[in-house]
Amino acid sequence: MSAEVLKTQGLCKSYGANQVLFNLDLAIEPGKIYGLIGRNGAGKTTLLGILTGQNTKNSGTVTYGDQPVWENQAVLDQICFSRELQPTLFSGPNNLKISHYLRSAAIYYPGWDKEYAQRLLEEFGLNPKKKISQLSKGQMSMVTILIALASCAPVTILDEPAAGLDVVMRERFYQLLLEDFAQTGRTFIVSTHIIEEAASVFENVIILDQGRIIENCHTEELVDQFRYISGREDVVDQVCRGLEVLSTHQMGRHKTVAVRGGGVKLQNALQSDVDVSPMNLQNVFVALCGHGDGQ
Amino acid sequence: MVKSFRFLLQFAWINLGALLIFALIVTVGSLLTGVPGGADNLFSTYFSVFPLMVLMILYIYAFALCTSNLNLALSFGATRRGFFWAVQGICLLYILVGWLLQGVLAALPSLLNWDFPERFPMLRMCGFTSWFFPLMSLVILCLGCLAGIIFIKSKAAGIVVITLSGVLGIVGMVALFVTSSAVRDFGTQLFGSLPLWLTAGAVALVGVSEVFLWHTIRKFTVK
Repeated sequence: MSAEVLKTQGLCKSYGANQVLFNLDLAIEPGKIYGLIGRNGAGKTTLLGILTGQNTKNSGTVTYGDQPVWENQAVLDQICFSRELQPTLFSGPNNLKISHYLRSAAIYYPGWDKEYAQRLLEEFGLNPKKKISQLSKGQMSMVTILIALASCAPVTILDEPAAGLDVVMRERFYQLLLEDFAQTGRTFIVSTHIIEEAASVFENVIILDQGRIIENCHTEELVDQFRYISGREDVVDQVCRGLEVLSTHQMGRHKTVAVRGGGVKLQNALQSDVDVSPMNLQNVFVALCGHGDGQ
Repeated sequence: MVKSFRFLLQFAWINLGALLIFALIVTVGSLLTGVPGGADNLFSTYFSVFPLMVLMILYIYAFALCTSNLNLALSFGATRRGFFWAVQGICLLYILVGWLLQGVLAALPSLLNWDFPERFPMLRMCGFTSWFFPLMSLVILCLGCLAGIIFIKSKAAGIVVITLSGVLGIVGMVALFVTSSAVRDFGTQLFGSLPLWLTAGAVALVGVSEVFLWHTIRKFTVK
């Protein structure tokens, strides 16, 4: 397994006058499972597309082990970006069959594991002769997952792999991902909107907001920095002085705030007549990226 | 490039197989319905315009090369340069197989002593020795790729390009066939330098199309 770092520096991307990514610096360390989360239109798929040479950039660099990714077959062989499949392609239905996708994957990925792909095909109950346009949303996600796992690429990227899957299949996907990771130690980047379910799988989390990376750190360390503090309005206000308040919710005189900070100030809060409760990754995400939309 | 060529080949085999089956149906249908004896029917029509049919089929095949095939190849990690050259290789394969097929069909009436072999002038003009059939095949393949690319950018513009390229392809091809074979048979006195200009135009069209094709592939964003 390659132990190279996938890195971007000063990455900018715009579509016409609409700038989507702003001066991004990012390093994907080998042997970790990264979660990439962000709101709709935050630039997640664009970022992943540029990281894998599938989309163009305006400026900045993208390297893998100090080698440029763009137009570099040796590097592209090491990266699998398994995208959401589209039921329609350009002007008409996507009439390609699952078998076309599997044969193509076998051509392009040097580490393609045909037996593993066959096992997954059987486990997911997929008929390789079926056209993509005939599949349900969940079945399309299964194909995406199958290709990603069987590619055995040192850097494997999944875009919305759980979209359309029922809860049983989602659990099975996380299990497969962790089993594969335990065996191979390869790097995974998973972009998802189903944050809380996937949170326990992510070793690191990258939060993209309006084209900027606002967090990129260990998941537990990040979540541990946030708390809900609730109680009487005046007491909460007093306790929160000096802490970074991210959101506020008030009902009568009862106030709940989401805060970021720790150490002595948080310890003081614990001594006061307020309730302090931990947040989960989804709450943290909403607090950081909600911009008041959910209140 | 090798990977992308192998990738495109999996679709090309199916397309070429369909072309071969079409040629077989036309030939066997002609043999069974008395075309060798002079019968005039649907099979005799298809047999006589087989070169045109080949070009029309190639046009349809080329349409997908730089749209869904490009999208899929890049999504699996193909390089753009590799894909571009692989497309050239596949076009070459299409041209060679199409040329071979129409050459075989053109030779059949004489080889099998059919009555009135002169009933198939287009086939005779496009025999193995004529250079304008492969040139027109290349023009048609380039136009097909162009039409596909423009169609995904704008359906209205795409339809205009498809219609124009269809008309241009057929008119240009017939003109080139007629003038070039006239030059071959009668010298330059009949059409003057027209065949030369038509050939130069076809080559220029291929050149412009290839530049546009490369530019599009280089800037393409996977969907």
